[in-house]
Amino acid sequence: MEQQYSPSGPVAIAPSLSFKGSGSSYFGILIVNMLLSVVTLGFYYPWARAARLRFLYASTEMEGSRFAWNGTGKEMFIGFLKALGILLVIGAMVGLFAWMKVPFLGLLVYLAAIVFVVPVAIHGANRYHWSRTTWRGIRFGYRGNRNEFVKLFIREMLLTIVTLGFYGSWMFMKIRNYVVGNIRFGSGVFFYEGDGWEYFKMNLKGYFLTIITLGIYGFWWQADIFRYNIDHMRLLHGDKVFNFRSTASGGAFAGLLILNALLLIFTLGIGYAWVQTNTIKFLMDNVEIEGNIALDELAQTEEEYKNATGEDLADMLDLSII
Amino acid sequence: MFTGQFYNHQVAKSITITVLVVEAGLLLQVPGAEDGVVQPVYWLFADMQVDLTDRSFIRITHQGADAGTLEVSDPAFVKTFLQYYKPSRITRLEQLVVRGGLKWSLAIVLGMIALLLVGNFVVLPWCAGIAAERLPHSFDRQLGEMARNSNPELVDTAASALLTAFARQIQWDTRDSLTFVVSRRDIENAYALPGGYMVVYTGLLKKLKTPEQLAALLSHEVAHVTRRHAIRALCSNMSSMLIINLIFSGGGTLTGQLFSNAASLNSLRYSRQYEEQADLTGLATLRENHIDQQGMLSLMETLQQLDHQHHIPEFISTHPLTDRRVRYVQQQIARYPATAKQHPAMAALFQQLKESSR
Repeated sequence: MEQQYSPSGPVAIAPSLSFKGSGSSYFGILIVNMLLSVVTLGFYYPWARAARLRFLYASTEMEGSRFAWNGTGKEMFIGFLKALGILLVIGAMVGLFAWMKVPFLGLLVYLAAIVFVVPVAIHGANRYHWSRTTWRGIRFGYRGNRNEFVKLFIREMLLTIVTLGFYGSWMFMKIRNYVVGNIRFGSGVFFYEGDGWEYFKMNLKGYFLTIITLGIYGFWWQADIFRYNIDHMRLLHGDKVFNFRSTASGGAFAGLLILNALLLIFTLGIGYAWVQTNTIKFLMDNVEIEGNIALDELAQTEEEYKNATGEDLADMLDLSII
Repeated sequence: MFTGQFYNHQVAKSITITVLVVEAGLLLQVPGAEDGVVQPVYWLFADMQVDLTDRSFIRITHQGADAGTLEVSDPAFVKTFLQYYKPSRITRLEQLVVRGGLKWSLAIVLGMIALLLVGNFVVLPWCAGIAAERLPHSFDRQLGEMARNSNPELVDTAASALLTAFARQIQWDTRDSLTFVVSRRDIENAYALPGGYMVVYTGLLKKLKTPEQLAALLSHEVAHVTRRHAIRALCSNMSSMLIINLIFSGGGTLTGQLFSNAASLNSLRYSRQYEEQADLTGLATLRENHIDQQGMLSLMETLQQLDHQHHIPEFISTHPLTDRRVRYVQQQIARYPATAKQHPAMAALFQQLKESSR
């Protein structure tokens, strides 16, 4: 066979991840956000969120190039209005049934809304969020199927309820496997293989040791969770792969979290910007990527998706996606 | 000439290129389709989207036929670029701040503090004034009654009748129907509730030496009523509460707060401005009734002397007697001298009051 001569051989490379944002620049952005939110009685919120995300993404660097957040306040504002509309309709129905003296039906509507709205929000948020994230001009994307995901979510939710919550770890892992497994990085495909039993054991151990050590083990538990999130993730591109690995130790987490708490207390909260930038810097510094994917070859495959309704719903319901 | 990274939106390939900032845009030396061939591309300022992250990193995106992204991590480039790229093109406010650096952020923090201070000391009192104007007088009476019921006084009927007779000697310029009450308690204080309910404690009566002092005391308290200081103070308290609620997104009904404040009306501390206004209005009342204005000054002196004894009389703690206030009263008396007459009826009633308060 002819030997392909390309810059990307099967050599192992390790792209570096780092966070370059300065606390003072971020502070400036948060201050403007706050000022405008107060002046506009909170209506500036979507634009504030866009400004914040844009800064954080543009300050994160991989292999010498920064990430980019392309979402706009306008998109998120429209999404916000739609999300508000959905929640208002649900609220009105619950209210109506209560007024008609059939609160049982209201409760049913409420439960049904949770069961349907939450997965729809997660789906929409992922579609919007990843489509608006780029690196070197290449879009990320989410290819999950909404109906499939809603079915998966309802099934797992029911199992968790039936087992009085014991199934929670398995549910969490199944959902993450599905969501992360449908994230695209251009022509690269993400992959996550979390195992419910392992995750359950880890959390059980973390929970009891934290109680026994009066909370001190909590930092190590945190490091375990972070490691579990990172180490089970892979990026595939053709027959090539990138593995992710966390190098954050419990001790390092303790240092970070204690320092952050002190910073917040002694600056009376003004240090919040620095707390966030420190945290992101810490996380980025503690993720190692290794493999043989040639980043140059990742191609533009994902479409643009500008509907932020799911993103805003998820934000309003306080579901953390990433 | 600067170097930056160029991305063509097709593959994640980072191409190092040279960039030139020119009059109306950027000149990029982008590699062409063939190897080794460099093709100059011209991007107009008008067609580009600029993301200024901080003063050392800028991202410029160009849409259209030759879509692409340029990223430059070079403070010198950012500086040069911003000299040519007009600030009016920057549509995102936070980017203006990034452009200005920490100085701008601090300026905005100071601006916000200034805004809050102006809001608190100028806008709120103004709004409170307007709100107070719009509240009907019946509201004053209602509020005064609530305060009275929540804190009933031990009324000395005989002394109250004497005090009422004394007060009737004075022409009050007010729409409110005034009620004067003596309460038999050893507290050196007096207060007025909205709607015109005045209470003088025997503790204070004992310390007064002349009828002019008592007239001055009453005219000061009545002025609080006619000027509706209690309503104004409540309205401004409430609007502060409103702002705090707004910021911390709490709730609560406003009238509920107004009425919950009613209980503390008799120990309400007025601002210095209200005290001065009450003093000046009180002086005018004394002048109009041909009562010696010096009564106000000697009242203050008497109270101040009490101050130097073992304890601070309560009247002083609710009506702080500053040197400024005394000076103000002196100046006012000098500015508006008035003839004072003898008031034998008042003197007689005062004498009886003094005796009854023993």
